[in-house]
Amino acid sequence: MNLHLFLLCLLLAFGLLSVMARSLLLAGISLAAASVSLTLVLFEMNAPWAGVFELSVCAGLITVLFVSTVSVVRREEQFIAENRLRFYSLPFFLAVFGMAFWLFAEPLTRALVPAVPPQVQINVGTTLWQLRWGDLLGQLCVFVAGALAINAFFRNKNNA
Amino acid sequence: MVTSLPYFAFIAVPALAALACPFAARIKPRYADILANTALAVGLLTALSFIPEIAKPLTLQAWNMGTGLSVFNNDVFSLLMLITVYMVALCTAFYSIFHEMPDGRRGVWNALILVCAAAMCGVAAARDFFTLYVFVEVTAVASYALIAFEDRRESTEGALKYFFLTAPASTFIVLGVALLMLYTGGTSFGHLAQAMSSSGAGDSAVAIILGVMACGFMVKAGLVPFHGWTPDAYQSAPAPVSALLSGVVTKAAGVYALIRIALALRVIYPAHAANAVGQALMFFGALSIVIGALGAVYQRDFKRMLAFSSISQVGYIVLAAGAGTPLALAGALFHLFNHATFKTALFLNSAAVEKQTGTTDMRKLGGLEARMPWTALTSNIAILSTAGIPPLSGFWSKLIIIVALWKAGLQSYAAIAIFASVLTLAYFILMQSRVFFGKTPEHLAKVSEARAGMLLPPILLAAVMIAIGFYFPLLFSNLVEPAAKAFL
Repeated sequence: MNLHLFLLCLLLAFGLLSVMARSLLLAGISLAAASVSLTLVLFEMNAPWAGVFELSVCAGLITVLFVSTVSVVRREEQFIAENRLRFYSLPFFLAVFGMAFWLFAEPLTRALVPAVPPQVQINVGTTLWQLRWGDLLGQLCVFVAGALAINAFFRNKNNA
Repeated sequence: MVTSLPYFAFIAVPALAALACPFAARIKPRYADILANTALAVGLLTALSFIPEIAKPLTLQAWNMGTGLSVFNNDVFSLLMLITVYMVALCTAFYSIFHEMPDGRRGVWNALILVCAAAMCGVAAARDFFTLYVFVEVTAVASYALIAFEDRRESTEGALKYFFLTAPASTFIVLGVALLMLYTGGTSFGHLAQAMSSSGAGDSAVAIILGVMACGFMVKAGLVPFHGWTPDAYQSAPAPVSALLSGVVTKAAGVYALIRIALALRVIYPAHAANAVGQALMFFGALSIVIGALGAVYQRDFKRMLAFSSISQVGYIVLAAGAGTPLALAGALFHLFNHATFKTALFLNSAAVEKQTGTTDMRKLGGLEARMPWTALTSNIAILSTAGIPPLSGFWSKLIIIVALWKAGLQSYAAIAIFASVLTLAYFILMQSRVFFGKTPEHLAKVSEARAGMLLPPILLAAVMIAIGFYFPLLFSNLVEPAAKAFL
């Protein structure tokens, strides 16, 4: 098994664990580990800037947000009885999807031979501040919306 | 070409106002209302001030793939979306002043409406599918929080359905964007058009890219058969949020991108009815028209019936976009704006009925016309406009769509559109008779008209419907025709 495939498997495993874990804290940490795996994939694919952003924002900032949020949740709320069947079915669906992908990956890759040659490399400053600043504005809006949504839900919990 | 629109301000002003809202509410809860309404009113007036530019010769700058500082779109379609977003968001924020909620929560409520508006402006501004996706996701997060805001069991259920059914749609969109990037080396609308003109839309790679992205956007638009989340989300959301969702969120998050794809198709197919993607759009549009209308007939809840009606009306927009002639596309844009006006008015009226009577179950309602005359009047106007009765605005947009379909040789689709319009009138008459006409039940004997402030947005929207209807010849030569020429 080469490193690339190993990292992708690791990413998948941590992603699955973050959804299936009973403990919120474990789920948050698994998500961070999945982000770290993705960062390594990005480094391996020669996309260091994307890797740095993934590591700092997703593995770093988001994890801090999750862990601090989990820490304010009352302990007993983590152990409310729930039907776990839907979570246990997840690996099954993942396996079906994986098999479907295995079957269709090759014809899909053949159909998607790039029609245009790869563009000349542009430095990250130009990309971020001139070409993609609209996306940065969108990302800031995501943070604001996320913070407001958390505020709205936790106020609900406190009022309940 | 339209003068460069100040998109940064259109997005940043409501976003900054959203940040300030919770702090303003701490000083005095009403300050959050004032701040939100002022920011949105200024945005609407600024967007309206650009209307004279539409009469000038236009080009679709979206096709330019220059790598300059302009990362945003600059065409008539974007301007129309901006006006629609600000208009509906302002109506929602204004109505919210009278919506009951704990004072401590007004800051976050208004902030969420403002972030949602900012995100939808971002969608309208995007000239690139990835930027569009980022803002669509912001819209989704804010909408999810707004649907679940009231912490009722139904609200949580509606919000979760919205989240779980639209999350896979996001995956489809990202996958489509990634494939577009892989195939063309870029993610802009121009790159899609370039890929199609160089290879032909019959090319399997382009068909895969378009199919994957269109699936995602159809879920977000709530088109049949991807409409499962729509009725529950609309019914269970707080009343003003239903107006926002139906009036503009589904259009910004789904319909807008579908029309952009349809515009891209025009690059190689002047009338792309023969194209597979165009045909798929028309098929799902027509299916939504019929299923939405039939579904509405059987509903017993006021808001749920309006939700099915929205599915049907969005179908008209997508059907016209799929036909793809300049007239059909102009009709799609015009109907998009009109639908925002009449559906916002109807959802706000349903909110007034719910507030005054405590229910939206039509079996428990009746005879409200005498007790809520203004609500009944504005509902009547909005209903007649939705059904396409002359001379209201909805009549003209449906007429343009039907004429465009007929001229494109799509008589069967035109017949479906006409038939569904009759069905629309039928279920709305049914609704009016159950809610506003007939004998007043005893338990509603003491019901009174909603407060003047709550009536103001529906009255203004009804005035817009009437004004557009009467001044249509003027609007047609100055707005619709130039918009249609822009698509040539």
